[in-house]
Amino acid sequence: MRVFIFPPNSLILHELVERFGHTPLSLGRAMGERVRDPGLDNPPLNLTEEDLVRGLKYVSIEAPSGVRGRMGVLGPMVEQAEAAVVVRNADYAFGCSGCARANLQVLYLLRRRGIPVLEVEYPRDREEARRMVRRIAEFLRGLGK
Amino acid sequence: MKEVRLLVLSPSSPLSPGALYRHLVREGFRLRMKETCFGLVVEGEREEVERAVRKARELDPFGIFSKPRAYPPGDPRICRASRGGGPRMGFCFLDYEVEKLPLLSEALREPGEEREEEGRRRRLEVRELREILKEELA
Repeated sequence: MRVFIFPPNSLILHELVERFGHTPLSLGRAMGERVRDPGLDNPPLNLTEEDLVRGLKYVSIEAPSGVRGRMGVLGPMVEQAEAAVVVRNADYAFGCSGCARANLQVLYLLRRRGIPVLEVEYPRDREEARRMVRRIAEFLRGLGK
Repeated sequence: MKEVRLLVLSPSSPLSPGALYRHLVREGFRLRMKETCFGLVVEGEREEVERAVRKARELDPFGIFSKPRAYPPGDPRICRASRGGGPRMGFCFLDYEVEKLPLLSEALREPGEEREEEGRRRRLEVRELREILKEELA
């Protein structure tokens, strides 16, 4: 099953979803396909006009281009997802390379899709880490294949 | 199709990036690899990369974590050597998650049992709170 992870570039979530036998929808892979496109050669602009147009499906034209560009990449991933694992206290999803509004929009789209969503938190101690792993494992086993 | 993977070693792992690199070379993988401070960046055909990740996990099943990366190792578009320094993209988040890896490794090794109170944890009802207060203040 294809599982959307939030933050979409999370190492921990990608590893856990893959370890428990599902396919994580990862931002790295989605961007990898784009940066191998010969039409794209000047980062930090790692999006094309097509992505911005695709983003219009999820946000209005007045939305900042950063939100639209992110939604052009993340929106189709949310649409492909059959389940999702979300970390609630992911502070690094917002900052120099993240966008709070795009994150809110992604979480809103996930809720609207009505797919099974598990919400967890980054652990601070051993017991919380065990609880996180147990909850993710139980959720993913319950999804079937 | 080509894929780039980050193989990240948990700080609690007995392996070093160099040892992991030598292990994969010894196993005969035809991949582009780069040693980094947190592990390896590996590039190659997707099946080959996935096979390498599985092989790497044999060395330390709970101490090696992986995720796909967009840019190949040493790509001049993001490599700081060719850009004249600057920020290392995505490093703050990776650094934050690497700090958590020893906890996760341990949790994967020994997931433990579900405690009874976890299932019973719920919001305290006003009625119950009132009774507790009555008992305490009585």
